[in-house]
Amino acid sequence: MNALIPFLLSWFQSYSYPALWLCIFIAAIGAPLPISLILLASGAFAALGDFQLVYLFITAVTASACGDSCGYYLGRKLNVGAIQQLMQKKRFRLISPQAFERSQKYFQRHGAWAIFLSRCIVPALGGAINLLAGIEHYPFKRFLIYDLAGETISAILPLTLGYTFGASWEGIGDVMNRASLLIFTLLIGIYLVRLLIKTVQHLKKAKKEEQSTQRHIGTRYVSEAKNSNKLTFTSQKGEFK
Amino acid sequence: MSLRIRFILIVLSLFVVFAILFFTAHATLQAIQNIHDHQYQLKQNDVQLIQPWMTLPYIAHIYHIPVNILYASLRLPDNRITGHSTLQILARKRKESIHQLITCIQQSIILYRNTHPIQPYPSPTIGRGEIFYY
Repeated sequence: MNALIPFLLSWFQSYSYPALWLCIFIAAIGAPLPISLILLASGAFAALGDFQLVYLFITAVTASACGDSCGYYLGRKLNVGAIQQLMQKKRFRLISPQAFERSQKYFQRHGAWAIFLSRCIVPALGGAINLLAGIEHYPFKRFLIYDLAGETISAILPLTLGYTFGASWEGIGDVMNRASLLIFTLLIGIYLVRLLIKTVQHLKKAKKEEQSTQRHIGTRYVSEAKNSNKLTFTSQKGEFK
Repeated sequence: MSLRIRFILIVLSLFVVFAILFFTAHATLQAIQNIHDHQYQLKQNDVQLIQPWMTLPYIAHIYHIPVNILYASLRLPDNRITGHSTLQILARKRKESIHQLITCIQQSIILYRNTHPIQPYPSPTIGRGEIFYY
């Protein structure tokens, strides 16, 4: 178990909701704090009657939305032009400018999914996605809607599970971590299968094109050969004649 | 990149993904089994389950004992600060190891349970709760 948890929980027990709010807010900006475990433990304490589930839920969602918005504005303040200039220089180039541009377009198209999934399935990516959304100047209203949707799920799930399973919340945390890895791997698997199907289709198309060009060359060769044969034949004919 | 190389790379990565999927699914099932075992141990009032994150009222709640028994065994005052401190914090305040503190609590729970055994549920009556007069 994370060594920080007893201290964070003690802090939470002493200072109640404001302490929880602050912890979640700091974690949402990007600090590596075990927030899902703390929410599970809060659910367990709520079963004892120390806290109210509804207040815990409101605290969790508002804190994470505020933290995520801070991350977004930090990203927005970063100068995209400077990053692009840095990309032009070969010394600092990690990815090509073309790939950078492609990723920008891709984020504008599929950013909503990235925001939503990074809240409930891969919370470790949340901070980076907030920054990226800010850098890409993703519309803030849309960002907030998908952020709230994701954060609602990511707050309800640990709170209710902690409330239901009580002292076994550490085990539940373990299951949640593994299940999120499982879902993430499954999503990558689905993406790869789609990519494989597309590649096979392209391969088939390429093969067909190759065959048709070969046939075309073949027919041309045959027709040319026939023509030349005709000529020779006529000449032969001529000779024969 | 030629299409053939791309095809080979995708197939290889799919193999890796399937291997990870298999291991993660196995680990998830194992974690679920662990929860089941943990819940069973809790029902059996196993005192080995006390953790450093627990508070004294929480321990009293899950082991169904009065909280003042725990305060008395640790010679602590029954106030808000003690009630909201985790065992790790209490151990630090008392300048003793967490294991010593947990052992002390375990002994007091066992002692209480020996003198106050849990009453099993009464066997069901024939008339499903009806009162019979003899």
